[in-house]
Amino acid sequence: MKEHGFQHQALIYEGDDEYLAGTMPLVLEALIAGEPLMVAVGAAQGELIAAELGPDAERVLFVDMREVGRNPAAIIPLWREFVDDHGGLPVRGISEPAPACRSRAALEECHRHEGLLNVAFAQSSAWTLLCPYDAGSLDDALLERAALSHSSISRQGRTEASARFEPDPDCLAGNLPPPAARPDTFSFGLQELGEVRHRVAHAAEGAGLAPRAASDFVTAASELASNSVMHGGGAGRLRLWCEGDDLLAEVEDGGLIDEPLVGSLRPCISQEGGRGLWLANQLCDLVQIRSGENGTKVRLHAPAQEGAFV
Amino acid sequence: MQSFKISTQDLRPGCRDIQIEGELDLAVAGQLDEALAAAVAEYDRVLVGLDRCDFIDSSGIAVILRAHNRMLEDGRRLAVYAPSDQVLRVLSMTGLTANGLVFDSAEEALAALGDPS
Repeated sequence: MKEHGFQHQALIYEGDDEYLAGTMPLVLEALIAGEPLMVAVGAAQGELIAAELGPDAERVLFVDMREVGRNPAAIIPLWREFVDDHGGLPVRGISEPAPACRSRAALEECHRHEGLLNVAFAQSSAWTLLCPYDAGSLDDALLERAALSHSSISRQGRTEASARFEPDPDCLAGNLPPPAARPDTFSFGLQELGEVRHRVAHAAEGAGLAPRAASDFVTAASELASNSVMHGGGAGRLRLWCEGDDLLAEVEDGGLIDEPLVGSLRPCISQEGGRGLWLANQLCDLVQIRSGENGTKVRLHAPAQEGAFV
Repeated sequence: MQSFKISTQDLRPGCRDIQIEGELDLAVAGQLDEALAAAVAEYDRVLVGLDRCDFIDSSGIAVILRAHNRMLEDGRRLAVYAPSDQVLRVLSMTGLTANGLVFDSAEEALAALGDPS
């Protein structure tokens, strides 16, 4: 049977042997067919595959997902670029965005972006992406959800079509958990954008963010606030609080986002607007967007420790 | 909050220099849009000086790109120069540095853009 379009497969593995048994068939098929292959996984997993390949590893593009995929919103542009670079030729990829060391919020966004990949590549040329999930460290609920975002699931050598696959999920639906601490709240309109930045800068300083991280956080929050003014009914509400070592900023307004890929598509130079959420995703490692009939909330996370994962 | 100011001068015939001071956000982007529209209507070269611009957001980027795209249509040129740290970061993340629109100084920008044809 000839396969069409984007094939999004999950691999549930435990231990190095299952990892290699699950990934190497795709790697070897790509090399034999002469198809471009990108492996975007953690450094240790990348080394496993490279060691198995020996000299042929040179024919594979390895990227460290813990660097490029710090923000789960970077996953779609990463694969978009790889597919576009090869002009519609069949390509293959391995993508492991969700190491267990990440926070619940980050793992939640990883799951949503796995679903968004199906939306982003719904009209794509044929290509195959395999997403390994480490059953040894991720909890069962998360593994269960892989069946929603992937059309097939492999486990212990058996591959099955996923009966629960959702090809067109609403990735902006649902609620964010309530703040873990009482937030500092500020309502703003167009004339208060400077005050929004001032308050976020003050909170960033209080949370101990390094100067550059603080400046990035202020810029990202300012983008959210101007989006509220432009698209969310002219005004919004800013909330700031700390959870553990993270500083959080959330902007809420009455608007509705109808483009689920907002912030995940690299803007081109001829396009004048539409850069706000893209910029927030470049400046911040975790941006959570929820939008529906009751309005829009966008939540930013910044770790107080420089270089730490959110 | 720092006040926002725009000042303009002619660097040489056909070349307009627009200097921005303060924080360029959605609340004031319309002022820059007007200054740029006036310059785009009359000049072959337009420079935007950012050394005293402490902050820029995507609405500031949008008005600069609008002017740039309009000038490019008939072979004229726009460039920005001397961005501060925050401004340079936003310019690079929105693709402006990669497209050769950003220079260290007005002199470098003028040299790169060449004389009006």
